[in-house]
Amino acid sequence: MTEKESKRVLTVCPYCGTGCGLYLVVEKGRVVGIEPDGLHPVNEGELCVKGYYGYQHIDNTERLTSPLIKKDGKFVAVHWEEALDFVARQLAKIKQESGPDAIALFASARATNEENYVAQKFARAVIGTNNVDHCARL
Amino acid sequence: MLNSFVIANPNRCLGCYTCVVACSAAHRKSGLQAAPRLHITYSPRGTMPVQCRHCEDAPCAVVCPVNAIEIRDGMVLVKEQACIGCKMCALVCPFGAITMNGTFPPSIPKPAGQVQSLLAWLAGQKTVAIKCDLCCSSTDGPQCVKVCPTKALQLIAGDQVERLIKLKRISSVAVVDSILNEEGE
Amino acid sequence: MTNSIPEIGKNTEVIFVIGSNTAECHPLVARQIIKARERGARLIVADPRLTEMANKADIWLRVPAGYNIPLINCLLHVIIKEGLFDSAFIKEHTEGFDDVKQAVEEFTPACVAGLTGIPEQDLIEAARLYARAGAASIIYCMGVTQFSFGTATVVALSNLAAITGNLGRPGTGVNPLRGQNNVQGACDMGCLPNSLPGYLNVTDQKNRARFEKEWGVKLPAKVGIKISEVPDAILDGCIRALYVFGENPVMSDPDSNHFRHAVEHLDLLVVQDIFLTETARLADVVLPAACWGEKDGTFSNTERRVQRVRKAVDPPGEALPDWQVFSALARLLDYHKMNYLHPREIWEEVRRLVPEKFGGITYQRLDQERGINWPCPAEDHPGTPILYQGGKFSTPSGKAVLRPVLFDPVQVPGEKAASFKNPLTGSLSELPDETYPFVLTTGRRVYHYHTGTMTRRCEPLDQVGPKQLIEINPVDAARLGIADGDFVKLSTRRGSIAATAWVTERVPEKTVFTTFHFWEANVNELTNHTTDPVSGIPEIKVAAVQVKKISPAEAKQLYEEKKEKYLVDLTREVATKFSQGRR
Ligand code: SF4
Repeated sequence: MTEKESKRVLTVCPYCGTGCGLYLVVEKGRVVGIEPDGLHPVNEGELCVKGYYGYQHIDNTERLTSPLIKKDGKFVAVHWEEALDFVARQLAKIKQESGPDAIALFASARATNEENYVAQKFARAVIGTNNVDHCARL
Repeated sequence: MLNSFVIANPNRCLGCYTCVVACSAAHRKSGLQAAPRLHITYSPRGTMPVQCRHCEDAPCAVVCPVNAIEIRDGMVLVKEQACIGCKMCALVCPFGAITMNGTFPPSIPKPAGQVQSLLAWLAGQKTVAIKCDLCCSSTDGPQCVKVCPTKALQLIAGDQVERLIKLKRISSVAVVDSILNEEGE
Repeated sequence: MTNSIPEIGKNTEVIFVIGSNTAECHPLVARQIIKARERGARLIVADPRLTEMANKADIWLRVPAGYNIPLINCLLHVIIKEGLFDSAFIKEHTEGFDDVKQAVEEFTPACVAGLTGIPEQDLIEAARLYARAGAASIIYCMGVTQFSFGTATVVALSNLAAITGNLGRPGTGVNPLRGQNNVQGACDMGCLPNSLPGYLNVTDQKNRARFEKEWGVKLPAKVGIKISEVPDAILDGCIRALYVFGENPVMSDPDSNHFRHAVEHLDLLVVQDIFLTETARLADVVLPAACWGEKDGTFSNTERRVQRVRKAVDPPGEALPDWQVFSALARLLDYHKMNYLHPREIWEEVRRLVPEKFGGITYQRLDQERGINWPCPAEDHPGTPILYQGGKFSTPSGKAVLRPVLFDPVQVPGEKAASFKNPLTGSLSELPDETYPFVLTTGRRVYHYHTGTMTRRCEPLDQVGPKQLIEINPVDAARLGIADGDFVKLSTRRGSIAATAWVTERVPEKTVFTTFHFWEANVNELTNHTTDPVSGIPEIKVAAVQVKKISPAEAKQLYEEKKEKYLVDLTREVATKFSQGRR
């Protein structure tokens, strides 16, 4: 598949819990539109306003594109290595000083199952705490 | 033939705005004002989008001082370029289907950062009469009808009106018949 | 949900919607309700607001915000009094009926009508309609749960379904609508302080052993801290570091000033997100994430349907999918059992560890089917759209456990509760008074989503919903001299916001409604963080509030204050300085 061709990618709406099926219309490596999935048993070829038109954030110019660290109160762009190294060292330090339960993780009801699984595994197996929760209640 | 128009069934309408945004997106795409041409209207009696009925003797076209509104191809259309924004059409429309709006023409980008502000004032816009044009510049008909998830919106074509009226006549015979028969018993 | 969404359109005869603005928050579920109505199903809606669902209801019970329990208990009362319950189902499949019977005794239609203002006859009709249906479905959402007695209310609803035998059959059930695409999945995957993936209780040694073997480490046994308890835990010094991904608690958590204050005391705040959200602006480290459409994986919708999401485009700049970030961090922290090459490998691990629920769901199957409802233990298993079929429940006795639910708006009915074995109680934590005479309730609008991080950056959506609106009843508006479009200021004990008034009958008298989509006027600065003792859900849906008309100049001043408070300009500043997106 070259960058120039257009394609349709079957996926699921990222908004509410209804989980409607839809296609992303991709042209030249960008999402340019949405089409409902006619075979999906829940939405049966229909979508709501967010399903149809809630995709432009993908291409928004304010997307974060590099890790940032706050230095002297100002954000500075850094490489992944530096950012991860910093986070890892800080987490290790706090864990050593105050125990694993001094660290909490908020997972995401917006991320995939796989990512949430990995996140709670990170909290439980790597950090060693059950302080992991997400915004289900909000 | 009579003019065509789009009408909503309030028993099906969810007030979900899909039609409104589809309208706006379609017109933006064809280089017209992006303001939506149908308006979700909430009332204790029900909710539905309100839009132009494409009247046969359209009062808006009659009052327009610069002939910016014309009846053509079975529709009532505003020539946005000719409109001077005098608001007369909006006032005479019995359905409130015309709004005056001045969204940015697509050629002028919105100033960065002004996503929304409480007291925003936008420079460089032209205020014109905005109304439904049955998406005459798109190939697959009114976009609101196409996207409505409950199929509450319907395009009633001119010839369909006459057919519907005929059906009503037939059922009215049945009504009279039943009343007379009851009396006779 | 105990049942699946398409059943509503196909099988349900009576739909009871409570605390859910389905038309705006789950439009495609509302579509199924419309479908059901057109085939003759009847609709009962309990909501303080005249939502689109209420507008279409056969019976609309205008319950004041916070009075769900007396309403439900009253329905139970009528059903029991008139003998409309399913005695065979109660006998074979439930326990605790007598306690419930006794507990709802006092909730007579006359008494509840007096308490809530709902006409007596409507309560009786609704109870009869629900109980007599061949298949009745309860649909609820945050308007039921977001109270300090949310759990109690849900139990009351399950009592209602159980005594009428509306469980385990097509078109029945107790069906919560999940607000976010993958809340169900995040819970299923164990992102809860008390449970491992597959809802395995973390305090049980047997459960931990299952994971310890695969993960190669000893796991902590102590139940963790819930989201709603985190701010206080930070202020007590118990929590020093917070790692947040794909979430914006400064906007979404109740009493957000309290949360913000707590966050300032952290030693480390890491935020991983797709934009510099209101929360990310306060962080020490911000990590760029890939968003929907840029990564592979699965989501689980509200009916437990696991579905495949696919990558369509590359993430901008150096942004990475969240799972890769966690894997990399684990390696740095010397843990080497998180080296995955593709989300499929992660899912395989989940299947291995929780075969009873996910064993039969493979990526290969998901490529052929439009999602599979768990539990699905084997690859030839079709999935389980309907739970509790044949009246088999997941309790030790295999029976549904009915629990008495008591309520008093002013004071927890402790004394009355003492006479029961296993009671749940409810009482409002904040009632209107002289200074704060209105009730504030919150929710969403159809064209925006949650904290607006994504939808406010989608121009077509922002165009129809550019600003916050506060709904106020015409009677109140007239008394306060507020006209549609005027600026209004809302204040509670916790904060103030200002926005435009929408004078409408959608809200009842003495009640105002607004949303948390806009930082300009974030209702969560006003909401209450008192929580439910069982689930930890905060009482977001009701607070005592003061309503005042203000001038445009005052509104502008408040707007400037909020702009500063939420560091709004920072996002653009960072974007212009560092963004290297694909545009
Ligand atoms: S299209 Fe609308 S109803 Fe369907 S999942 Fe998306 S937000 Fe929900």
